[in-house]
Amino acid sequence: MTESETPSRGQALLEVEDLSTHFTIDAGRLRAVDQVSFSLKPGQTMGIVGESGSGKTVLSRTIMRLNLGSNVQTSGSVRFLDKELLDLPMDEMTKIWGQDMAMVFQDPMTSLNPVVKVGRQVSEHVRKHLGASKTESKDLAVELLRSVRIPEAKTAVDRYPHELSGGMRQRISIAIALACGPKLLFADEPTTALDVTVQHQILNLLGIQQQERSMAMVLVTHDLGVVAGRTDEILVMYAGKIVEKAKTAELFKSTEHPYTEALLRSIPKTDQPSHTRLAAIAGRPPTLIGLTEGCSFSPRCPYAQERCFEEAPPLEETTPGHYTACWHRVGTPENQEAWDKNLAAGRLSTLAVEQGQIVDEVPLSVGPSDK
Amino acid sequence: MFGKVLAAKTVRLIATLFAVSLLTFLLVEQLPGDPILAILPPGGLDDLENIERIRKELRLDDPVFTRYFRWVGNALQGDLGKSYITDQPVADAIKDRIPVTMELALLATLIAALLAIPIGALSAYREGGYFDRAMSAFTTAALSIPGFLAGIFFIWLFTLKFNWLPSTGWNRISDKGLFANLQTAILPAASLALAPLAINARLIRADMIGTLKEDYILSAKAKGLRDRYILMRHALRPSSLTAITVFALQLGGLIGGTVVIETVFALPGLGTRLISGIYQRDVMMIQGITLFIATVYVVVNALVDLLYAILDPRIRRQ
Repeated sequence: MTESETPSRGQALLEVEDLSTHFTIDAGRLRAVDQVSFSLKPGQTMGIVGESGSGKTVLSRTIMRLNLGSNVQTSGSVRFLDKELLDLPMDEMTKIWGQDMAMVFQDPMTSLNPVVKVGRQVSEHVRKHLGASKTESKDLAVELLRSVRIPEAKTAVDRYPHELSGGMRQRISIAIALACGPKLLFADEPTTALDVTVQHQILNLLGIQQQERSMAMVLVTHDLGVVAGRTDEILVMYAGKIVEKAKTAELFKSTEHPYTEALLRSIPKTDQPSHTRLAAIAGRPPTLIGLTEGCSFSPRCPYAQERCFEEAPPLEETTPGHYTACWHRVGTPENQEAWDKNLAAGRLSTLAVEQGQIVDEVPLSVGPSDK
Repeated sequence: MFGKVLAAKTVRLIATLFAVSLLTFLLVEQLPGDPILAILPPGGLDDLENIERIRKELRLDDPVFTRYFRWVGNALQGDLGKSYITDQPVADAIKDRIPVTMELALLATLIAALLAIPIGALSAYREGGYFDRAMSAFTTAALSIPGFLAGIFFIWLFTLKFNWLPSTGWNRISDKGLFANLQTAILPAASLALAPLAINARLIRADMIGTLKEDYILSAKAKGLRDRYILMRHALRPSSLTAITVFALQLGGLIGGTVVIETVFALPGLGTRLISGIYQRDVMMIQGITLFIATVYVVVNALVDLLYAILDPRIRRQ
């Protein structure tokens, strides 16, 4: 918590470069995160979006260096507050955890200890990090519960997690994460386990706290709707890679990657008549095991051409600040051409988009024009 | 809510104790032979008149259930009857002998707990590591060696080889002080502790491995808490429910189960008194001591249930 460590505004708080996380499993090498680079300035919010299994959770845990197991290889660089985290000894990481970098977990039903009182869980690490006394930390616990809008905070500190609702528990998790005033907060699907009305409250709470504390935040979610109004920049991940990266408004205004487009299409819209079929993305996410030639989204992509199956597109800056990894970006003439060609050839995943059908199994081995 | 649970448990406890006392009484009743024969002076077998007189005196001519209810009624008032042979009240015999057995049982449980918790926790923390594998070998050995054999080994090692500790006998705290007392207590207690230690180290290890995979352990780590603190403060309590149950059952069992070890180390405990009672066909002594041991066991078990509620707040609700 020394002042000298606080970077000035404009300089990056977190800089991730070429970060890869590979797991060695029986079936081979699983590339959960593959050459990811991004940076985050103090007070900024970054959204990381992708389906289950796209590597977004592993990415945030790799950056925090949290429990990835012994079969993991990490390469690249993570610079945080001018320290290279990947080289830091574990007891140095322990000092950073909670104090400079914190995480809100997905499921508040399992992320709180069932046999420890809420007040203690909220304040124990503050006692450790900042050396608060027992009475101080009790007052602090009440204070923290109030700051996350928990009613009757004075009695709530003496409760156990099972006595509270899911929304209340997630507020507690947030209070835990915020307790030491971290400079960077990872929120890993913080609302996925909650119902919709509570989701909204929790996201607003995170937003308010972030502004009050001018804390940077990484919001990990599978739901583009969640990150839409709440982030400065969005990373879209697919199969462990970044496929598109742009300022939030830019990403929604001029979507370039077919996967991002598909994610947007799959958000149900309220102006559609009821019983409209949900627009799902054809096929399933790839297994991430072994080397894949070509673009990993190509088997499910309605625009995929010969080249997409042979050569992986690099992540390129298309307009200032907008990066996309695609040979036939949405909105370009090449894209239209690819669409027409695939439609004429009767490619399954193209037809599925055209007709709003759900196609579960897309043969992976078949070329651009499915036969 | 809690009071209702407590009341239900108490009723069940009383019913169990009733059944225990009845079974004890009937089993001893079923022993072949006449208890009076053991009391008679040498050559008294022919004096039938004398036998009948004793029978009347001890009121052994009453029907079985009359005698049972008289026995239970007196037992409820703390009177377990008198030995037919020595005339010593059974309650006095128990009072005289129980400190030795109780101390052995508690000391053994303490040794087992103090070692099982760190062994189990560390084995789980470094699952599959050197320590874990070494401890796995140790617990296997400890479980497969009977306590009396370990006791004999301890005597060989600490008395015959090094001459550090006495092999038999008992120093009372009141006579010779705590240190001298522990000198005589430590070897039998260690022999008794071996099996519970091994079982509980394994239980704690297994539960702890499960607990360490829980999300709340990861979130405790993400708060920047040290591993040792997480192990002791966050992981141990949820991992100790099984072990606590088994500990308590073992403690209850140890109070009745020190018979063999008391014999090996020639200690004046409840177990050796029970054995001599059996040799002498001292019916009242056998009944009284058995009932006492069974009662302790049942009560300890009932207390375990309450302990659960303290350890896991979620149980208080149900």
